Amino acid sequence: MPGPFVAPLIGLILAVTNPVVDPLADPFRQLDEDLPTPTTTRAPSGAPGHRYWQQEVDYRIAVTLDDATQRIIGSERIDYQNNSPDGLDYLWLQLDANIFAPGSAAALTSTSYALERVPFSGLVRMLARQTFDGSVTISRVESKGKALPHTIVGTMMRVDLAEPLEPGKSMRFEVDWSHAVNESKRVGGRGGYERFEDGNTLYEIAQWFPRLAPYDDVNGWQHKAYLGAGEFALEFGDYEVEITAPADHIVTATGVLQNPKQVLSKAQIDRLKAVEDAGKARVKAAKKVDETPKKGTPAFIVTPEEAAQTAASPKATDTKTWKFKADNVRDFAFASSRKFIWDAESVRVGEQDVLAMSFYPNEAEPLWSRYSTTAIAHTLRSYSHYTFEYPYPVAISVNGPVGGMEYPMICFNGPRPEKDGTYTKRTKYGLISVVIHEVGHNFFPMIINSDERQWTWMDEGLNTFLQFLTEQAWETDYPSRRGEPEKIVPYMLSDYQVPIMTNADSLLQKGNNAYAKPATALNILRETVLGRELFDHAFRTYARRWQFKRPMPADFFRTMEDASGVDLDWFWRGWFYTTGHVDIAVEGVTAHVMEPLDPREAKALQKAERDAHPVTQSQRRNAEQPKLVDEIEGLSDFYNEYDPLDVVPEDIASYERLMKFLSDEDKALIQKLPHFTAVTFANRGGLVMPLIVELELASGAREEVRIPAEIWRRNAERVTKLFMTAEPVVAVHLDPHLETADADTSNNHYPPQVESTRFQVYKNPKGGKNPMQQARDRETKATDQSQPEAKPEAAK
Amino acid sequence: MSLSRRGLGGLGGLCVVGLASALGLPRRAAAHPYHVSIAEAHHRPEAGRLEVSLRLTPEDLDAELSRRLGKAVSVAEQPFDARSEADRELERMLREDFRVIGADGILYGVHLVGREVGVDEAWIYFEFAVPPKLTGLKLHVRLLFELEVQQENTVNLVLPEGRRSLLFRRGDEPQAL
Ligand SMILES: [Zn+2]
Repeated sequence: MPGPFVAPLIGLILAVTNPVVDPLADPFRQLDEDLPTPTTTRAPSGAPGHRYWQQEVDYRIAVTLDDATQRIIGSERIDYQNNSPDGLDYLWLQLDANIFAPGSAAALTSTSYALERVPFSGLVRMLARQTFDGSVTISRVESKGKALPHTIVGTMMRVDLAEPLEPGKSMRFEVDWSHAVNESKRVGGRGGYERFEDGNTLYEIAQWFPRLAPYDDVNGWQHKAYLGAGEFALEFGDYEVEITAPADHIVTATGVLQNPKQVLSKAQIDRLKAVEDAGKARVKAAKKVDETPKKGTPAFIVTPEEAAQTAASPKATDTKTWKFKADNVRDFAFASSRKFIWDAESVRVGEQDVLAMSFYPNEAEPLWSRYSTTAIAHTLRSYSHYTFEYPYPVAISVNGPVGGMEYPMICFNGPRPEKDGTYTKRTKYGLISVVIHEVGHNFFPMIINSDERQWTWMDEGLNTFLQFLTEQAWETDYPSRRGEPEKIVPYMLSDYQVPIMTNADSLLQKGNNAYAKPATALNILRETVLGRELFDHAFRTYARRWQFKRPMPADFFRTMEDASGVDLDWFWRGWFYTTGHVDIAVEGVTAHVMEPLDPREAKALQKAERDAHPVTQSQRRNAEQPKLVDEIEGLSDFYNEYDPLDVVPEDIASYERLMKFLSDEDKALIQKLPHFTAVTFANRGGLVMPLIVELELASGAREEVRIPAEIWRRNAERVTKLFMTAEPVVAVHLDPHLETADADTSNNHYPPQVESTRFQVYKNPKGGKNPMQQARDRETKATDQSQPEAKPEAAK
Repeated sequence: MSLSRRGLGGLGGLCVVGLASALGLPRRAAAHPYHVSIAEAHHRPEAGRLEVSLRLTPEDLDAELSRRLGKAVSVAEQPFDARSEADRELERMLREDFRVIGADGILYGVHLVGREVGVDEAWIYFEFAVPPKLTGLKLHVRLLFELEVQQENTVNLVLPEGRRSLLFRRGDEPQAL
């Protein structure tokens, strides 16, 4: 083997000190102990297991929207297919509207806040809660003509079955119900109605029918009370829904309209067909030249003028019934108003044409016709690229009283311009972002049906992550609120955090915990840990595996590792199971120069170095004094004459052996990179992360080295890394592109840099410089100005 | 969902949007389930100052100033001007809701240095003249409590002896600095 000279070329981790003693603190400890054991329903790879099952629930609903009393009157027929291996004695249904019962748990707990500084808005709502009763009246629960006993427990209803529903069997039953619709402005809610100054009403109807609670392999029945904050988990099924509304209303809903001839005008039908034809023509044109179809623009189905005219005319006294059909969805929502403008665009997604549509009142103009449908189309294309092709035939965005809420194929978005039709920059981007976000929810959790009530981050975090990528593809420097690592730093520095892997009910700072932190973590995983290609493959694998199924957190963690082939346990542990932050410091830098390999040169250099060593005072004075070896003969031997820095034949032989062993490339490398720099990094924040190191060389050139997080494997607190360069390293910068959410970047540099706080940068825009540097700047400036040759230059 | 106004159960929720529009105030556009502010407060004993950078959602800042002034205000649209109505109100808001309290119960005066309000975030910079030792001083942050029931205000303190955070929710007492 070659001698010690070459050793550093191979083993790059030079020094490892203080091995971590506490095994529990080891950030690379495998996650197995924290993840549930794989089962026949959930495989160790993170894929659905070979015995994966889920229930199926199909609905046929007839509902009347009574505009005079703002009530919903409905009747539904439910087909429940028990695919579980268990017999069921009863079924649980969700009655979300019972949250609006004056005595509901939500209403009662909502008044228990300390009364100090109760917001005025809170008082209004408390009063509204006292007077408004939106609770559900159940007038019939029947199967085969026989009443089924049922018990209402808050927002849940238990239906007792005459005999257990055996595995593999299905049952049909009917429920009739009614409830008042809440006025969004006064009572809040995820749906509701808005009353306009012109006397018209706009309805956004959601969580409105008795729906089956999920029954799954992990939790059994999911029948936690609905308190309003957590969202929900549901089963997939097919829906046929007939909505009866005032004849002058435009109704839009989850699914495809089945009876356009009965509810739309000839002009509206023709315009819709023109939109679809235009889409088909774009696809055909693109196929000829083998390109992706050109992007379309939305066209009006109901124009602003027509909508204004309807809104101003007397209200219809008769009704129309709109029939919608939606397959393989987990919920159904709709909107209805005589104020709706309607625009549409055909979007090519894979081999399917999807109708992207927006519905909004004139109050939303001109903002909405400009951005809503285009944002839907952009979202469908972008999300389909990162996951799977959007499988539904329509995607709809509705403007109304709800700020932002998602349902299958349809979502409600709030932003509107000022009354004069102008709007702020923030309103513009607020609308685009909320449309991207809510349409994006079609993927998470409408299709990848994670349990929102328990694991909010699985839909909000993943969705917010793709929202960031989609926004950044809208325009350069799109003002995204979440995604960039440095934005999460203040939150991660605070002591008041819980890990992302915390049940949604006990979340502290849900916004940061369930949205921003996981979104940022995934962005870092993609850009810094796995790289885009590996990450995108793994993320797409997860999405495709769990499309139309219900994943749990472990299924996500396992799939990302399984499909990327990279052990990410350290990453999940650090970012999802702990509350540590990233703060890695450049602690020390030492420089070394490669000695010449030829012993004749090397030893000569060493001798010169020795000779150059100063003679100490004692050595100087002692030199004059007589020595014993000079007096007694025979006291001197070989070693009195021996100089270890003399070149001996063995040195030459060893050198020649080495030369023979080294390839020409090795020799060239050693010639080329004679400078060694050992940099010590200290982990002060707790989270291990890759080291992104920028080396600044003497000539001003910069080299970037990206070192995987595994460098911390043997010592999570301190590591030293040796870099070989052609020129001396004059400066070291850690995380130069701010990609790791490093909380304290002032310790990321060698030589140390004075870094100003945000406050100081603002207060002193010269910022970043200490007073001494500023003084020096002033001096240089003064000298520059006094240079005589500067003047003739300026005179030209 | 993505909106700020998530809590049906709490007093939070959509009512603020509604109220704002009822008063002719700007609707709080998309999209944050955050009811949080986060501040970094840096104590510089040598300068005798506590320097604060406060981050808020821009909608929250506008909504709060609009609520206080009883009319629609959007500070993103105007450059910082300490003499303007909105920025004078902003300083008043800090005086009332970001309070440094002396051992004797007297409030320390706040000096609003400026602000940066973008589409994605709003930063407010202000400082207090404080003694070299903070012993006996308390902090009470009540920002946006009248706007949002679920509001949480975090302060990351950077002190000569190290870092520490404080969290303020409705009903919380002043906490030692
Ligand atoms: Zn959301």
